Amino acid sequence: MFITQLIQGVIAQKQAEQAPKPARTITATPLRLAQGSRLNIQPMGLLLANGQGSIFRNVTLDNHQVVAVGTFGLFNTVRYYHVYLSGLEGGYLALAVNNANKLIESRLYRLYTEVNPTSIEEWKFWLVEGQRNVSDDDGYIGKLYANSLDEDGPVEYTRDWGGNAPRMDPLTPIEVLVDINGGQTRLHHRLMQYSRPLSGDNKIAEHLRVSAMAENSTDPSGVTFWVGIDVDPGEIQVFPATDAPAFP
Amino acid sequence: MSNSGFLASMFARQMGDIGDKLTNAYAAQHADVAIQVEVENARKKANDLASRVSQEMTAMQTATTKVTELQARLSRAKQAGKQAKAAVDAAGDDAAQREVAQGMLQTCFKAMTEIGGTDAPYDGSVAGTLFEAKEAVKKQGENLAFWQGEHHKAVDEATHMEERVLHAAEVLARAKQEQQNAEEQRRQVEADANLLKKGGAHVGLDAMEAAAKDAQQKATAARLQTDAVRGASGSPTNADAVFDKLLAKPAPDAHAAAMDAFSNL
Repeated sequence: MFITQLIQGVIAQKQAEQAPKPARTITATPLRLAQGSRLNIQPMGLLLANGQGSIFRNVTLDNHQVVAVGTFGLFNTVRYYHVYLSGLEGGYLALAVNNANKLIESRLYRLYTEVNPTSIEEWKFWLVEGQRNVSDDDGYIGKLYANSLDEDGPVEYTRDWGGNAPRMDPLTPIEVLVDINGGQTRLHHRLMQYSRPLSGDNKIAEHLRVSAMAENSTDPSGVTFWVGIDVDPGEIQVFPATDAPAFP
Repeated sequence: MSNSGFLASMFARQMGDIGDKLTNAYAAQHADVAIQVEVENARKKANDLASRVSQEMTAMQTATTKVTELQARLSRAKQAGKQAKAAVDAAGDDAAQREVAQGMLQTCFKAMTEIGGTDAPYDGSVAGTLFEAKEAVKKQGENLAFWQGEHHKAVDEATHMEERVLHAAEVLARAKQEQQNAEEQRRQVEADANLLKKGGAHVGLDAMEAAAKDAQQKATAARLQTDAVRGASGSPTNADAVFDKLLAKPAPDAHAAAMDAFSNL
C-alpha cells in the first residue's frame, strides 16, 4: 500500500513537471530586448555627451536586465518601445521604429526629476487643456522651450515637434507596459519632447522629455522629467531571453 | 546560390545559335510555335537576370551601409576613448572614479581595435571588422559586375533573336510566296499541256492534207478518163494532148484552147 502510494506520488510529480507551463506575456521588441533579456551598454555615447557638457551622468551601463517593456504609437508613423532596465530606476532605453520596422531612434533616458502638483493652480502651470483663466506662463508642457533644473545651470531645450509655435498641445499616447511577470499597466501620458545640440555639427545632442502621467487612469498624478542621450544600437550588447522573439 | 549553380539552372537547355535554329527544318515545320517559345524563353532569361541584378544591387547597398556604420562607430570609439583617458587622468587618487573611467577606457579601446584593427592607426585599412566590410564591398562589386554583364548579354540575345525572328518570318513568307507562284505556274503549264492534247494545235495542217488529197483524186480521175478515151482509139488523141496539157501546169489561156478543142470533136 505504501509502495503503491509512493509510486503514484512520483508519477503525479512527473506529470506535473511535464505539464506545459503557461506562456508568459512577452513583447516582441527591437534588438530582441524583450522582458528578461540582459544587456550592456557601451560608454561611447555617454563619454561623447559628457565631453560636450551633457547633464546626463551617474548612470550604470552594464549588467542590466529588462524588467518591463512599454509600447505606444505617435503620428501614425512611429512606434515607440520603452525598455525599462533593472539598474536604471525610472529610466529606460527608448527605441523608435517606422512603419517599415526600421529602427530610427535609439536613446537612453534617465529619470531627471519628478514634480507632484497638489492644486489646480499648480496643475495649470503644467497643463492648460480644460483649464480656465490660464495665463501665458501656464501650460509648460507643450511650450516652445523647456529648461533644466537650476542646479544644472540655465540649460535650455527646444521643442522637437510643432515647428516654432509658441505652444502646442501635449501628445497623449497611452503606453501599454508589460512587466517581466506578465503584469500590465496603462500609462496615460500628456507628453512633450525637447532637445539641444551639444556639438557644433549637431551630431551629439541631449534630449528632455516631460510628461504628466497617470497609471490606469486619465487623471495625471504627477509630472516626470527624463534627460537622455543617443546610443548607437551597435553599442548595445544584448543577451536575449530564451523566449525573446525575433523582431519582425 | 553560387554563380555556377545559377548558370547551370538557367542554361539547362542547350544554347546554340538561335538564328540558325530558327531556319532549320524544325522551325520550318513548326515555325510559329518554335518562334514563340524561343522568344519567350529569351525574354524570361533576361527578366530573371534582371531580378538577380536587382538582388545584387540591394546586397551592394547593404554592404556599403555597413561600412558607413562601422566608420561612424570607429570614429565614436576613438573620440570617446580620448574622453575616457581624460577622465582617468582627472580621477587622480579617487580610486572608485578611476576604476569607472578605466573600465570605460578599456571598452572604448576594445571597440576601436575590433573595428579598426589591433595596430595603429586602427583605421580598418588592414584588419578589423571595418576592413572585412570593405573587402565584402569589393567582392559584392565584382558579383554585381558579373551579373550585370550576364544580363546585358541576355538582353542583346533576346533583341537579336527578335530581329532574327522577324527576318526569318520574312524569309518564310517569301518562300511561301515563291512556292505559290511556282504552283500557279505548274498549274498553268498543265492547263496549257491539256489544250495541246485535245488537238487544237493541228487544225490548219489537217485542212491542208485534206485539200492535197482531194486534188490528187481529181487528177487520178482525169487520167482514168484520158486513158479510157485513149484506149478506145488506140492512139493518142487530141484529147490526150489536151489532157496532158491539163495535167501540166496549164497556161492561163489553156482552158480556152481546151474548150475549143472539145467543142471541135
